[in-house]
Amino acid sequence: MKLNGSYKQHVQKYRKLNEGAEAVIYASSFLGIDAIIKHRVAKGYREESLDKMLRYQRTKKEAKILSVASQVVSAPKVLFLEKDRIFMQRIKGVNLLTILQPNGSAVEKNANLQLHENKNLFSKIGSALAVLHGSNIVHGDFTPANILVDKNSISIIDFGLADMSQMIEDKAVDLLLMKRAITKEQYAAFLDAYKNNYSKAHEIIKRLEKIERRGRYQERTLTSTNEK
Amino acid sequence: MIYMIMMGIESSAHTIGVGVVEGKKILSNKKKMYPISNKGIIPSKVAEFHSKHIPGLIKDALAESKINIEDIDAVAYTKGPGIGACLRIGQIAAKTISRQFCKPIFPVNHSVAHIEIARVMFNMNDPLVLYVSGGNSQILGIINKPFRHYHVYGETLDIGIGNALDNFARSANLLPAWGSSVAKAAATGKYITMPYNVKGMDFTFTGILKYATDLLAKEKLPDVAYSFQETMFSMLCEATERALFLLGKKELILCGGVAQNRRLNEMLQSIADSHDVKFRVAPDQFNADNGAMIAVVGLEMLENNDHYTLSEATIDQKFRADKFEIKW
Ligand SMILES: Nc1ncnc2c1ncn2[C@@H]1O[C@H](COP(=O)(O)OP(=O)(O)O)[C@@H](O)[C@H]1O
Ligand SMILES: Nc1ncnc2c1ncn2[C@@H]1O[C@H](COP(=O)(O)OP(=O)(O)O)[C@@H](O)[C@H]1O
Ligand SMILES: [Mg+2]
Ligand SMILES: [Mg+2]
Repeated sequence: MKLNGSYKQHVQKYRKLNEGAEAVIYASSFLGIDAIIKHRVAKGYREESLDKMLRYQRTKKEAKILSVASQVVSAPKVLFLEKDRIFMQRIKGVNLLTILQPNGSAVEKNANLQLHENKNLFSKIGSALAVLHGSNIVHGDFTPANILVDKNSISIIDFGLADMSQMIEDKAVDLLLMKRAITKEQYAAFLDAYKNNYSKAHEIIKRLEKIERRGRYQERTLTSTNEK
Repeated sequence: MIYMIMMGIESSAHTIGVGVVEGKKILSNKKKMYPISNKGIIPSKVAEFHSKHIPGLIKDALAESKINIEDIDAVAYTKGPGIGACLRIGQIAAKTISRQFCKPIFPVNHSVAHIEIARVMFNMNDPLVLYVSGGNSQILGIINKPFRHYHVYGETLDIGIGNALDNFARSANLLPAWGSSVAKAAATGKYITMPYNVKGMDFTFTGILKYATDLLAKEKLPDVAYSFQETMFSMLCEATERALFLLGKKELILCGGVAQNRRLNEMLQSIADSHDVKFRVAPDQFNADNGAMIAVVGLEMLENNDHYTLSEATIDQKFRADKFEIKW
């Protein structure tokens, strides 16, 4: 989209809406569309050049991948990009993490969701990931915190750690991240839908098992034993 | 108030340690470490070292605690994870004491012991934990189902950060080949961009290890060492901050051998400050392997009326933190 003058003339109402681990989210409107501004704030704990590089690269990458992802699944459309800020379409709904854990850990508290809606919801998430993977988009932070739920529909957000990748390993890690954050029953529904909607699912699931074995059996070694 | 007295024996890797605790008080914490060389280490040699030193360490620990062996209420030892030959030495010593002096015996998880000593020391209830050692790098927190344990929220998908540091130290001919030497070499370095890989709360280190090792041929050592360390620590910090955020925890513990690194402490302190989180790290002697931490967990088990027969006093080289039930 081409704009004349500064984007600022087209933006109204900055209001802090939310704060994620990486970014501060402001509510805004952009050319009359309900929008948010995702601003990746500087992190004082790390080397400045690394900090800047990560923030700028991720912002750019997120915008790029969103523009592909939003064509294949429900995800925000990008309106404008500027250094460490993305203006994107505002999606209705609440993030799944807050539904799963009003005040507790996700693994324990998700009895909150009725099982039947539960199954339905998690199959939708499984199909969405299947579609993303089918388009060779890996999410990189595929957890309930990055899924917005509005009644019966879901949207995927936060593509900051995403990548275009054909690698089985990258895709398997997406499954792993979700698996750790939800219950067995929810994961079963999620995985079923993933399998039914992605022809290479079998391969990815096999790799996931391999990654899990790696972690489970991670051995402590004497530092130098491997160099005899 | 009378407190129980627990002896803890640690022997899972390089270090053989014996500690004694009475309630929350640490009466003694004695240890000896097998010298780190740049050449190969053979497990049986380390085990030999441990068995040679353990009688003296037990004696010293008791003497410093001003008690006799009869005065302890029970003995705890490291069940795992660790090197089989090394673990066996601590197990045998604990079983011998248990049998000879009729003391209850408690098998303890090494990783959980690193966490628990800090948690008890700083009176925390529900901390997020960054556990960073040679073989492991994990982000953990307590959950109650299916049993009360430290759940792994994120972890390295390949090697532990300590092993990455030690490996790099060896390639750079730093002596000893240990994380502390990398920290020293890094002191005057300038930043060079390196591969950075975080996925959610997981991370990997083999990519950056190879990159940094190869770069040694082209760039100055201090710059490579600094950038290698700084980038890996930033990865850990990002994953930890994400976990703090997702789980809403207000307490943070850093533990394990790499927790002795000052730069990592400083970075996490800065994150904790910005989220109003209480951040604590135990003194170095408890982050390096030691017996007192094993005793602390043994005591929790004793106070919970746990019971193990001698035949249940086994070892498990691959004993993960999340397989160990916490009893408080
Ligand atoms: N396009 C959007 N529409 C509505 N809410 C959003 C949108 N993007 C983000 N949010 C809200 O802000 C929170 C943080 O955004 P996110 O992109 O996940 O940032 P972070 O990388 O810091 O986690 C989300 O959990 C969600 O509640
Ligand atoms: N100051 C330091 N900075 C960074 N790493 C350190 C420092 N001191 C020790 N380490 C690292 O700690 C690791 C040993 O920690 P430890 O908890 O004993 O590991 P493990 O129990 O897995 O063998 C080694 O890899 C060593 O390089
Ligand atoms: Mg997010
Ligand atoms: Mg240790």
